[in-house]
Amino acid sequence: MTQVSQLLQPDELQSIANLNLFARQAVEGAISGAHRSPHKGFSIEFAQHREYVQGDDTRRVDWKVFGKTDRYYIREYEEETSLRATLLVDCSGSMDYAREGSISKCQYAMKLAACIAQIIIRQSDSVGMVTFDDQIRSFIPPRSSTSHLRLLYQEMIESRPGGETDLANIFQKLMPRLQRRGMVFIFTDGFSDQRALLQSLSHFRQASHEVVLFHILDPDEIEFPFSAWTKFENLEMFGQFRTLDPASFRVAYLDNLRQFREALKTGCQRHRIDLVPMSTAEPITDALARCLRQRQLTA
Amino acid sequence: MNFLNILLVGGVAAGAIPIIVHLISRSKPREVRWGAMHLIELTLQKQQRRLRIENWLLLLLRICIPVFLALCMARPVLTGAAALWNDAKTSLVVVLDNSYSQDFQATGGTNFENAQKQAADLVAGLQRGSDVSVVMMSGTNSPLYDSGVFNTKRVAEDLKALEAGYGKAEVPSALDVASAISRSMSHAQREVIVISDFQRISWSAEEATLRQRAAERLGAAEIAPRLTLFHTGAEGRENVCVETVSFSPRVLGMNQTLQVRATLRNYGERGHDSLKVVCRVDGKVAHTTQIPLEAGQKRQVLFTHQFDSAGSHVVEVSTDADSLKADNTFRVSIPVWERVPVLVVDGDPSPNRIGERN
Repeated sequence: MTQVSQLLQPDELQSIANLNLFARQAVEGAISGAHRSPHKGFSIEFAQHREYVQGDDTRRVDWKVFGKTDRYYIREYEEETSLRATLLVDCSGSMDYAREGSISKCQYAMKLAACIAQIIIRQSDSVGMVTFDDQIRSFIPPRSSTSHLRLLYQEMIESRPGGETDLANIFQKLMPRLQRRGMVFIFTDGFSDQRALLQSLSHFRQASHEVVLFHILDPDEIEFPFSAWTKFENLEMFGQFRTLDPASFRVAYLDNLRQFREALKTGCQRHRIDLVPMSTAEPITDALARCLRQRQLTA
Repeated sequence: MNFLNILLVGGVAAGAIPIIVHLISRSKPREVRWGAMHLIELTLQKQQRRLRIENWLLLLLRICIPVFLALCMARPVLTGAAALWNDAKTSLVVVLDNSYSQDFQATGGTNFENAQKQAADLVAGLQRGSDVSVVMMSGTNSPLYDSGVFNTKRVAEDLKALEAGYGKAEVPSALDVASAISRSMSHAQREVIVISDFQRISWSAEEATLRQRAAERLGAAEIAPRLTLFHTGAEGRENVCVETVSFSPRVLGMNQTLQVRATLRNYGERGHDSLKVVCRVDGKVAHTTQIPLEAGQKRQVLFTHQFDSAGSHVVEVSTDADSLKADNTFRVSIPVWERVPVLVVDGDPSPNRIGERN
């Protein structure tokens, strides 16, 4: 539990105790769970009727319908299955930014991922994790055991942000490794080629994954509150910097940021991806509760 | 261009403050390790040229503000340009010659009357809001007003009330007084106009250096007034004056004979064959005589007179040789005693009075 306390405080754990995560679309699973399965079978929940074809099991014929219509119809049922979630955490250099006295975006993303992993494991669903910068740093396949949660936490604690970002390339590389459809949670600031990012996210959708993108920004990045002459050093590229007067720059920067966020929002809507804008100034549990309640409402 | 408060022009140096602040702040920029560099790069790409121009303009504006304030506080004046437009307000000092010579009777009045008229015309021609002062050239050189007067109508009235005939004109000191007044006046366009008949006695060659220095002092002012010499009236080429009047005896009793000896001098260029000299006692003509007086000649005239009453009597010797009246007349006051006490001294000199014993 040492690892848990390093990531999540007791009050945070308490806050997420009553939160549940539901998949909004059908997921594939090996065991029975709380989430819908695309596989029709002999189960409790009725799905639909279809006409009998040669080879169908005669035990599945609905004789009541036959009595009414004088035709053979087969009853189909929805099988409920367990959720299979993968947490993709951006550990690039830009995620290391933190306002003075605050936690970095990467730390915030890890805590958020830890909360979601807690919830998923508690629901007996399986969760895996991928950390990356411009390369995949670690890949932990989804499991549902409590001991697996410890493995995830250890990875979360040990991960240190650094390196450049290439989200599109990473997601393309990940696609073949996420074999079964499920949920993909992405924690990133999205500071990458936006067009390529959205294109690669669409691949997740084409593979029938449900994608939730947590777009995490620091309040400084949102407000750009600098006033004195400032040297901005690139966190992802050593030696690259820009020295400028932020006061005269602020309006144009904020306008660019607004355009950037709007483009991301539009792209996510087009690909039916859940975009959750987050600020590291917002308490994690509040942000997560807001997000999950929103999902329940729109489910 | 000049400045009324030249010391505050030093405030222009405050224009360097934004540059210094800029350099100091630039030399030690705050360092921030930043994630969203692509947003900064994107903004720079779009805005760099505009931002550079804006920054230069902003710096220029920041420099201009203290410079402008300093210049405003220094009260700049466009002395050269002011004369280009006719409606410029003017600070005018009229230096008016009120010496004896100005009393010369010329066509249309005395020289001084003409000078008054010209001064009044100058004052009347000033733009509304102009200020005026008047300095007299003879006497104490005291100005009519302590400072510039904006009420030009009042000045015109005061000019009318002035009189000439106050000895010799003191040109250098009058210019100094005009210079001092001009410095305290309000407008950028400043003028000192000297109205005089420029008689040699007042504008002598001996005083030329003093006048030149006074004019230089006038021109050395922060806002140097424009000095204009304005000739007025006619020059009296004929001048006979009654220089002195002496009389004897010094103690005069009733019915005693008084001898009045007047000295006349012809300063003019023309001689007189029979110059009429009149002796008036208490305003009444008592004696008249005629004398020849050549150009440059000095001559005495003797009158005798007996007073039949005691008291103070005025004896006036005058001639009407020329139009310059001020020196044509000489007056003396003579006390006449009813009884003249006589002290008779007889015998050896003694400190005791007569009748007293040793």
